[in-house]
Amino acid sequence: MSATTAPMSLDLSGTQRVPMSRLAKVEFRKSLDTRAGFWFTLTILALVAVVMVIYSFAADDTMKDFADYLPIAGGVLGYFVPILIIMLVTSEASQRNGLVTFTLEPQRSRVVIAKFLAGVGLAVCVMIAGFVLAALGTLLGTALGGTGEWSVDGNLVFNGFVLANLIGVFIGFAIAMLIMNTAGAIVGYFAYSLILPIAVGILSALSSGFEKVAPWIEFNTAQMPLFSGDYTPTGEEWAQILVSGTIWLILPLALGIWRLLRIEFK
Amino acid sequence: MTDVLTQPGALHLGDTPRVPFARLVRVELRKAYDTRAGFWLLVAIVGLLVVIPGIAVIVTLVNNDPIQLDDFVGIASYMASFLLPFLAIMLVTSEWSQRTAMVTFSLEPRRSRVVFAKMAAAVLLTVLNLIAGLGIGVLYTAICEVVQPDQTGWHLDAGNVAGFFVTALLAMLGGFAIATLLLNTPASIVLFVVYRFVLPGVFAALSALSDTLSKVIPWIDFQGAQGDIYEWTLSGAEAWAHLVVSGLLWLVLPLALGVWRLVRAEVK
Repeated sequence: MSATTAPMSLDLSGTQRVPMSRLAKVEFRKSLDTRAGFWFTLTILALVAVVMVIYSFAADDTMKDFADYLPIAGGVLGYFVPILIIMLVTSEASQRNGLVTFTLEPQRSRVVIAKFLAGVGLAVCVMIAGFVLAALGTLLGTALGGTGEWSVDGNLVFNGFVLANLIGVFIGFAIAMLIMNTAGAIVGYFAYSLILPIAVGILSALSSGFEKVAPWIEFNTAQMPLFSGDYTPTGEEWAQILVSGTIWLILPLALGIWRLLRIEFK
Repeated sequence: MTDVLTQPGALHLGDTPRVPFARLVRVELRKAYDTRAGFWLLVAIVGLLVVIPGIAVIVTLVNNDPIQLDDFVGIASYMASFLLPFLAIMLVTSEWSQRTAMVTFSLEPRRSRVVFAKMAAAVLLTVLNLIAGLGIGVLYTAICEVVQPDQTGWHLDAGNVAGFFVTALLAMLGGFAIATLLLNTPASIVLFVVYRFVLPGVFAALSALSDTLSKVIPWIDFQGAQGDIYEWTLSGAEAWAHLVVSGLLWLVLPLALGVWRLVRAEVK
């Protein structure tokens, strides 16, 4: 009798910590298996498919090679994937699941790492989807009279597709952690990716002095050599990517992580 | 005593005047600036208004370039017109996301009046944006005038100003339409950006690709059809027809559907 009335004690010291793979799997699921994430992903994939079908009918027959379709898929997906990343981070606050997330895993830095892993995993999936869609597009283009050339420049794949997408993913993380509000972070992302380059364009048109400085201080401008020409930045252009990337990516990312580790979830 | 209205506890509202429209507009305006999201968005807009033309001032003065009042007003209003439609979007969607719709539509059950009040607030904000752009322009031109009087001009083209205003207004209404259709802040923002910035790029790319498409696209590319308004050189029956047809498709139709939805949407 006395055994049942004694206060129950639960010995948790032998319980293993949540493995990182499980945390990453949970975060990956959060990005796709929510109402917003699911519909958003479906919409951007549909958008890519629609653009490719229209392109296949409209484009010149000599421009229906794999190397033509790949940047289309990569461009559309790369532009919208950061929004998926933003929702993955900000939903902790807006949908209030931060309360559960950080109760089950109070070491927030592990959750941050898990989110990064999930984000990179997501980017890899998106890139594979981009490749598959581009391949389907090429098949359709060939069926409609294209030359159907399958060879691609390695620099296009690595610089214009893989590296650009990864940068986008981390930009999404940085903005989301800094603003921690879905609508605000999305506006911030568009301000960064749309308004900023236009402002730089206007100012560069006004003055050639600014035009020379712009790639050093504006990340979008610095990244242009990754998508255009021969997809191979020169040494100076790499330096510009590095310098502007420190301002617009590394610094916000560091501040964002610092904020996420300390923010009050309520 | 048989008169119901004299019984204790009966509330006679028959003589109470309806909420005046001006008050509804004032409330909606206040929702745009006196909420946390609205306030910070306005701060960002003012920041863009001040900073980007400010950089232009510095660059101009350093290089000793010629500059006009026109340039500053143009840059300022153009930068601000990017973020302004988001304010119109939040004016509509926050009723649902912040659940203020409960109160709003209890105090004014004729929802169409609320919708028109919101539209009026959006138009007023566009006017304020233009005035702010003009003010910033005059201020910065004055700075340039003091530093380099021979290189500074005070020319202001009325057509440009009108063009800015009309395109900003159309963008604002486009955002408004999308917001009433979706009633969700992040989704409306994403769709608006696609509508305003991604679609024109897609249309331009497509019309470059094929002759047939390049004949059809002017009729469905609303942003493209607005190009001439911006320059205030819209003329000719065909240009107007492009604007009207694409406008019906991308502005009037979504706005009508959206308002129809807003008036009937369940408030919860």
